Amino acid sequence: MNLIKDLSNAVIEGNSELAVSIAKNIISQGVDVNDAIFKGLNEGMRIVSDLYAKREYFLPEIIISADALYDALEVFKPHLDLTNTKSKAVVVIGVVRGDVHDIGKNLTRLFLEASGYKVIDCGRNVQPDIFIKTIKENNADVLALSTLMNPTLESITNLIELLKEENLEKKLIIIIGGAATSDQFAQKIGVIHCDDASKAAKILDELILEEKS
Amino acid sequence: MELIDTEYFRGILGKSGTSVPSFPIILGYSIWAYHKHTGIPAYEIMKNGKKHAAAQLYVAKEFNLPFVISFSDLNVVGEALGATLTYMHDVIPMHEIAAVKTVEDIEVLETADPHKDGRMPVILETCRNYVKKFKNSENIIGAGVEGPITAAGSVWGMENLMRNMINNPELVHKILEVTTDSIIDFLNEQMETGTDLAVLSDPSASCTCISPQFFQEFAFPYYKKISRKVNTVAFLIHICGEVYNILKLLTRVPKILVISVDMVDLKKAKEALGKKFIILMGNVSTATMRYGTAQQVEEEAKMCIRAAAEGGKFMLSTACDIAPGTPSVNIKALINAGSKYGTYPLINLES
Repeated sequence: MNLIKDLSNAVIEGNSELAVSIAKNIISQGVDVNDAIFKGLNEGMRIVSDLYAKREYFLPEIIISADALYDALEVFKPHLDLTNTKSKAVVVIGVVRGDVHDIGKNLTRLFLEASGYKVIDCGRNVQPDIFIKTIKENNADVLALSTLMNPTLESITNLIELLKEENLEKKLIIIIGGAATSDQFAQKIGVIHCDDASKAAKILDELILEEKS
Repeated sequence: MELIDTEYFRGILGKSGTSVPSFPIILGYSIWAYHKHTGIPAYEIMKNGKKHAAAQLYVAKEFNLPFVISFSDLNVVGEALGATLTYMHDVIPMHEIAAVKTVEDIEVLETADPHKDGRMPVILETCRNYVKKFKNSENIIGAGVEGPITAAGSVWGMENLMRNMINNPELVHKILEVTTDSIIDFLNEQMETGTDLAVLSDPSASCTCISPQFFQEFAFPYYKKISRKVNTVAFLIHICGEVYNILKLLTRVPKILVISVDMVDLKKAKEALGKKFIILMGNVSTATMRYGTAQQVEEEAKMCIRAAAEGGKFMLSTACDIAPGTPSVNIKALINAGSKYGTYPLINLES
């Protein structure tokens, strides 16, 4: 358990070297890898997410924490047992057409994965048909869209229209975020607004729980 | 021409009978609006000084705005230093590929030449067109460019820049030296054409991205250097995102005259600026401007005036560049709110 706690702390500190070394120790000592990922890496990232929400951490700190997480994950990958892992929901995520600012999207993906969501990342400057194809192919439950810039808010409204035409809009929870988005804009187009990457998982948890009950 | 010499901006002194100056930020918006008006593709407007100037002049005329600014996107220095942009048909270009990939690339990075590199010559031509149009008038011409952190993000990729603020701060400073020197040379060339003041826009320096400590380490020294070395009487600095915790530092940037803010409580911000003659500018939401009604714009504008106009040193504006498609009626509502609610003494606020 100490190793897992240490791994979590290495992520919080953003110490890649230490995280990799602990991950190797975990493998050599036969500690459950899934446990190490969920209680070590993901728990560390969840705390990082809280620290960002409290503005004790900022983007540089989150980015090096993410580096530590991914580096340790590389060590675990060959030893992963995926047979019994069940995700909370399938999220398709991307930065909409016309925008390439993807730090917020990447953080959201990270925080969602750390909270047990399966996330399919379409990348940045994503054309609407790619979103639609990915949603259909993966039977997605959630569509998470991001944009930093005002000019590309229009890409979100256009995509929502297309989703309506494809009869996908009602089947999905659509959540948007990024500097250009706002509660008012989200209400106007009938989607959920998330003003902070660190809150996305909590918002989705509540919505999914609501849908199930 | 200095701001306080002009009729339009006289309200910044807060004297009886004058009004809070009120206008939206129209940089990228102008490119879209001019494209809509003329059918000229945005990529063509962005690469031609005459057309680029015509875009903002068109919007300024449309809304009777007595100022223009030379730039319309935040990748001018980045592109001049080698970043690749994707040019769009209807809006400003977007950043695609960083200029440097390796430490070796950074070692050989050189200051941009304003007469040769990227679109810097286009911006200089834009300035000359503005000066030709506005010489001897009460209009204000702003020389402008993105700030050093935003430019460095464009040069190295924002994630790399942020990551190395912790992992390799020396390398970050090396890039910031180059972006800062490029900004200084570029702004000086713009000032040389006859522009009135300098504008820096640096969203990546906000506390939404970096901590106040990192702002102090990676942004503040470069702001001071730029301000000292650029031949201007005044600076306007715009930082989108959270800025409250860096406002006091910003007041220590030499020649700072206007701080244009996005996510901040204007009342607290005004208090933080203290007694110095620094004008606070902001911060009606760009989402309200784009998707709200004229009445909602007016309500928000009124709240801004109520929070920050008492005693002057305030300009009513938008939190950031307004979005393409922002309805004209909303722009007019914002502009009118300055005189409707912001005429000194402020007795119309409760209506």
